[in-house]
Amino acid sequence: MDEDLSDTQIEELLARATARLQQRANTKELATSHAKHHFTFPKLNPGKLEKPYISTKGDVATVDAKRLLEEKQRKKANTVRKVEDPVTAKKAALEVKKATAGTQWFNLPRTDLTPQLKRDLQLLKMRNVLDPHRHYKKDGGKMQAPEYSQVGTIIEGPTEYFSGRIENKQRKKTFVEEVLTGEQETGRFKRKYGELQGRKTSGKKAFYKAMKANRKIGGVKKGSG
Amino acid sequence: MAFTPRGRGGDRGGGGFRGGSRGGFGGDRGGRGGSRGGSRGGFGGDRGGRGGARGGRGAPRGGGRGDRGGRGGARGGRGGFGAKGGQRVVIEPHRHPGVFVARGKEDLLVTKNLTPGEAVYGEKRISIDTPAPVSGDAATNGDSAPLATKTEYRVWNPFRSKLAAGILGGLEDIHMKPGSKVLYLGAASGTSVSHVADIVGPTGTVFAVEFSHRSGRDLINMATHRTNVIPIIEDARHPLKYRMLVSMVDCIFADVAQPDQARIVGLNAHQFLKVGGGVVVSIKANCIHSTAPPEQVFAREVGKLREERIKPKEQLTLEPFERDHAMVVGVYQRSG
Repeated sequence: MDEDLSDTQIEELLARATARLQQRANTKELATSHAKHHFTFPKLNPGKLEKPYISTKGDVATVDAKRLLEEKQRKKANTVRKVEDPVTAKKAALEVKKATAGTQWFNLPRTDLTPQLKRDLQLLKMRNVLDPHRHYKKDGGKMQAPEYSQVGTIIEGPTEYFSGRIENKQRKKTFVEEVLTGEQETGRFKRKYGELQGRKTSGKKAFYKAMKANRKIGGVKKGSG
Repeated sequence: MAFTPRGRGGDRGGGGFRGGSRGGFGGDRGGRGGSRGGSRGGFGGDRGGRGGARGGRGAPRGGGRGDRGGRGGARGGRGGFGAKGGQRVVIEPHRHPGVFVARGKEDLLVTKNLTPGEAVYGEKRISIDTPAPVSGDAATNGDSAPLATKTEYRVWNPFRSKLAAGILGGLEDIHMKPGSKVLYLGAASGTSVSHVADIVGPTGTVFAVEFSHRSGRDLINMATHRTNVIPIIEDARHPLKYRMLVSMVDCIFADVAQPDQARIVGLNAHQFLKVGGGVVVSIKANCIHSTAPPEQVFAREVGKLREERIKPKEQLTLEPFERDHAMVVGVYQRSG
């Protein structure tokens, strides 16, 4: 059997043996270093501990709500948080800004375009026909309501009570009504319309019919002019 | 902008003046028929003119009163504008901040009344009818309803105020707006000053300088009701005398009608006006030189202003409203 071991095999065995010995020596060193630290066990009494959030009394378990959240977080959670869409917020700010003409015009409000006011403004645009003696700057085109405006009533000066004042009974609500009452007094528009119609319909069908009817009665003879 | 003197009917600059106010006023001018005696036919009597000739003015016109002989003739002047108490008008903002236009049968230049409920010199006012508050508790309590803030405007007559005439003439910039501080030289009785006070509003200030004690009395009376007016009864030639009352100002308006007007304006500008501030000067040719042609007088005055480091920007005559008057607007430039 001894003869069976070759030289190489013997060398290998030797190397293995030395390796084993070295390893053993290493573990011994570790063991001694561990032994140097003296290990203390914790005490059995842990001292004061945090109370648990949940306490049970008999069958009822209650939660201490105060300790569930931090105070800061709770405050945040309890207040109303405004969620603002920047687009709508911007729009709303613009709306507020455009509600009046701004401080430069002492916050003149936006025009409240009622049908009455619209008619007033339309008539204002055409006021040059109201009085032939009064001349206005040319103001053509379509009526465009002013962006900001107010409607007011003139108050006469202290010296004009009898001269520059409309009596309370004759006061009107709108500019259009004022003009229409003026028309009732003067009848100018009706007269003008009649004049125009007379001129325009002269020699037309209605005119001819009326003439013929006149002839039948015997008012006008043919050829008599 | 190049400096070009403008006459009436010329380019109105900016062209932003809305809605034909000139036309409106023009309608009144029709019948005056050369009865323009004094420089202005004001009715206060403070400026001379035809104070008492107001008899039939403003009575109902037209409409079959043939004995009157013509519409305008019977009215005997301006100030009335034909607008009557009780008529409805639409208030719109004017191109200049703080100024408004009331549109009705004729257009009126108006300013927002700082003291609603009172007129300063007998001018017309325009009250805005705010809808009566229909709050439930006020009605049930039977108490007087909470006083709604009343809005009122005052009519500004261009025949009485040169600044109003200038605005209607189409000034590009009057250098006054809500919140600005204005030094007003030649405040007289404070009629125009009250309108300037309206323009600058409660946040602005008007320092009104007037030398005459007689008209200064009226000025002080007016200022008692308007807290933004500081009346100063002093000679505008000596700005040091009232320097403790006046702060730095944004604009100087001068209507002093003195031969040395340009010098007076310059003195005050150097003392109080901020760099880049506006100078609005009304020049009456007669008061500077009684025989020289007006254009020459205006040109000379503008030259003098230039020497005082006021760069003239615009000039226009106040022709339909005042005779031989010019309004010069400049900008104060300390250097250069």
